[in-house]
Amino acid sequence: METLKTNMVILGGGAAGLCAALGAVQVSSSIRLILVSKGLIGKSGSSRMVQGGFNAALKGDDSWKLHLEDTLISGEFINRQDLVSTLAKEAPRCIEQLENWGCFFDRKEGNIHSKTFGGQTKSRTVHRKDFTGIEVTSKLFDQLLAFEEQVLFLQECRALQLLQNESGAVAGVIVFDIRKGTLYLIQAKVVVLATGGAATLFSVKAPPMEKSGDGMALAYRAGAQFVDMEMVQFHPTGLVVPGTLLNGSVVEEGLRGIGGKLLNSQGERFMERVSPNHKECANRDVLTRAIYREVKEGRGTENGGVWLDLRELKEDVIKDEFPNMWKRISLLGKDPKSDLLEVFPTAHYMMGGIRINPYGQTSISGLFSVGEDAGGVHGANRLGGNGIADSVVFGLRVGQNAAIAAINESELQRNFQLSLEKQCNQLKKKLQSPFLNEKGVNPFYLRKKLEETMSQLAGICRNEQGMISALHFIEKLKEWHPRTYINGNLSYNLALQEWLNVENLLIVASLIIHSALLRRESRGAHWREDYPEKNDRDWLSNIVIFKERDQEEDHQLKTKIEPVSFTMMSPETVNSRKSILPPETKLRS
Amino acid sequence: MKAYNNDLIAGGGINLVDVKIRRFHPGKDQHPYYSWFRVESAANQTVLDILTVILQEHELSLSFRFSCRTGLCGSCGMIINDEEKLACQTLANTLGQEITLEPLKNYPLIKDLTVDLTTSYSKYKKIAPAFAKNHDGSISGISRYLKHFPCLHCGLCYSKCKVVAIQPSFLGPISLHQMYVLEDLGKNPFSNYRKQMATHEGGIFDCMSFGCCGAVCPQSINPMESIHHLQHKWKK
Ligand SMILES: Cc1cc2nc3c(=O)[nH]c(=O)nc-3n(C[C@H](O)[C@H](O)[C@H](O)COP(=O)(O)OP(=O)(O)OC[C@H]3O[C@@H](n4cnc5c(N)ncnc54)[C@H](O)[C@@H]3O)c2cc1C
Ligand code: SF4
Ligand code: SF4
Ligand code: FES
Repeated sequence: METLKTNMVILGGGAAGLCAALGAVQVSSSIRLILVSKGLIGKSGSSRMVQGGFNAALKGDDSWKLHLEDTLISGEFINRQDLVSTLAKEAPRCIEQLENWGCFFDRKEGNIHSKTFGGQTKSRTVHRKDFTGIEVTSKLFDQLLAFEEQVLFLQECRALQLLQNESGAVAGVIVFDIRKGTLYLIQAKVVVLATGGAATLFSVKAPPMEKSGDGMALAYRAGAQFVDMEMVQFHPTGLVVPGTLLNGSVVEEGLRGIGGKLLNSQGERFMERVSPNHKECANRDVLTRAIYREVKEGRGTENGGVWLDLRELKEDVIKDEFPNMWKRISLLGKDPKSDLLEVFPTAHYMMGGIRINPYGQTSISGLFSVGEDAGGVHGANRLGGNGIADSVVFGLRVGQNAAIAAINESELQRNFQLSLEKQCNQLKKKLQSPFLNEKGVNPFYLRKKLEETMSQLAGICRNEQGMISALHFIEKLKEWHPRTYINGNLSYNLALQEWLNVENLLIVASLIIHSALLRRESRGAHWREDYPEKNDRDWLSNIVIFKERDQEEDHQLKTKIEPVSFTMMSPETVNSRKSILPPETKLRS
Repeated sequence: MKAYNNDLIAGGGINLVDVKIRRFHPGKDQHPYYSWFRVESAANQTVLDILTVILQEHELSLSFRFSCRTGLCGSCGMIINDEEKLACQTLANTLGQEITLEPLKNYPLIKDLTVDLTTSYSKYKKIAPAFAKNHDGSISGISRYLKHFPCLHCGLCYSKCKVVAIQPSFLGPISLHQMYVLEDLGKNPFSNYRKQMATHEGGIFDCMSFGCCGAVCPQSINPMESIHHLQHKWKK
């Protein structure tokens, strides 16, 4: 075990983590920080996979206020308005900052070009073809390499446990080196969680598998508060390719934006019926429910999807504007000019998460959170293009704030809740334990069972009975977990990694279900069969959920239901905007 | 002789492939060895799918790296039947009955198919890879830049490069391509420094122009061409 001391630790090497690091080094040249990433820095996480683009109100006829309005309407008004206004106001400046760091976005006639994404009144999604994520993450990393003296990179290392002092403040983290199979004990003044969410909890999913709610689980164990965990976004068009890891990969929204149509097995363009005004450009929640219904009511394809029809689009436009999509479709041996693509909603993003204020502070002293780990920005439905914007805007901000907090904290904490040696020994023992089991199920099997349970009982469509049985099954999986069998040794052991993943995913799964049981209505991504209507009278509220620091078990979960404060805009004010954005037509039920 | 590490008997009509994987855990294993697996391969399955099946059902201790599974992150590079490829972008049914998987070359081995891709960053850092605007704030080459696909840092070209293999000081295709991209954006504050790096030992004049780098690049980048541009620009 190696002991390290530093000002600040950032967990996560996606856009949020990279931006937090860049934000921090901007504050002072005396800041020293450690960037820990479970995958390769900049090459792991969802940020790398961003295809669509980055929302920023750059054009003359657009404004941060319109961006705010679109975001609140899409989020069905349970977003935290102070966070959304920060996002909308700072996004344009962040685009400028990114360009100064060498991330260049597509241009037309010299000006930055933007796409039209669902649910937006203006075309505001800035992009670099359909590989915006590669552009952003690789340039952020290039930039960070210049600060080698201030930043220590620990790649392929995963955070296992936060260190807390006697009063519960976070004072470091224990990290497992995946390659070497050894531990680092890092003492720090502040810790920033940027590990992305856990939308990989479902059978059909888009994000990289290493995102397993680790940051959320760390925060949960430490006693942090969570907000609206029931809000899990499904992207309407995930590719259906059974038996492969390509299953659930996203077909970019922009292709619907330029005329891609959805058809059911009877050849009907069902979105004309469901949402005559917006059709395929409706919000993601609307499309997801509509597709789910078509399949459930027997109008789906053989593999349980619907068709995406790109046949009327120009071949060179797809090839030129969406080269990655073209590649993916070709890899499957399809020709978009003659073949239809099979699609079904795929788990994509977690809108709920660790509760933060606009400075990224969590309810725990010394602990910050940013990006998909944090909740509150997107409400009940995230707009395409607001995810990477969230990670960059808040990444820079939170990195700066955390660095200032670290500077103001004069000394490293030394009075820990438990002796550090004891904590490390406990962890070492735990890591060894699955190797001692002579036989048993393997962790991949556990993960598969968990995913199936979540998809069937707590996924796109939910009801009370189903969710209660899911909770029971989760308890079973928790019992199985210590009996899992692994072989080999600690270093670069993928099965061991999955075993640790499952442990965290089980926590996040139960937080999602507990919140979802509480919200007795349907809103955005949260669709309850037993409460199919949106209920503004009772539920313009956030669900806050947490466990006290010293409590071990999650059946002692605490919950609070807090009315939203409409500091910028309320649902009533939307009515005055009717001419711009007609209300959604109701789904046929 | 093939000694299979699993037993799968041919069923009617199912496509079976033999997968041969190079195994080695430095510091633990005495010698590298090969493991053989016989697995079913369905249509549309990639090499990454097959590796995942082997890991999850037959060999829990097998090691390889992946993240995005859609050709974007550049983590799953390996040598597949003697050619550098991304596992997630290579369909198994294009490879015949026998698939041989080996780790990328020119990188230190971590375990089995996993190499330490980050080692090329020590060279990458040497070229001052961060973008810095011109002194007058302008960027001239942006439209040319936007035509290119971005480099994934997948390391396929670096593994393929014969000069990297024999001359450790050679900066290699990834770094030199990045140097070209930055230079092509217009003259910038690091230009002189980069010129020095490029024309020094291990720089652009050490490239032997075999062109293997471009041949394996999943992004259709041709680092050799980038190096030629720099050679032209900074003629000896
Ligand atoms: C296929 C796809 C397409 C998308 N397209 C768009 C789009 O067009 N526009 C948009 O706005 N949004 C898009 N999103 C959403 C967007 O990617 C996310 O909003 C954003 O990238 C989240 O950034 P992040 O930094 O919080 O997390 P991530 O980028 O996911 O990064 C998480 C990081 O944490 C690391 N990590 C995980 N666990 C640990 C641990 N225990 N210890 C240390 N490190 C850890 C991971 O390795 C990774 O580096 C897309 C998402 C997907 C999956
Ligand atoms: S062309 Fe030059 S850089 Fe490319 S593989 Fe050959 S020697 Fe290496
Ligand atoms: S140039 Fe091509 S092969 Fe080389 S690292 Fe970049 S993407 Fe990979
Ligand atoms: S897994 Fe990302 S490129 Fe293959």
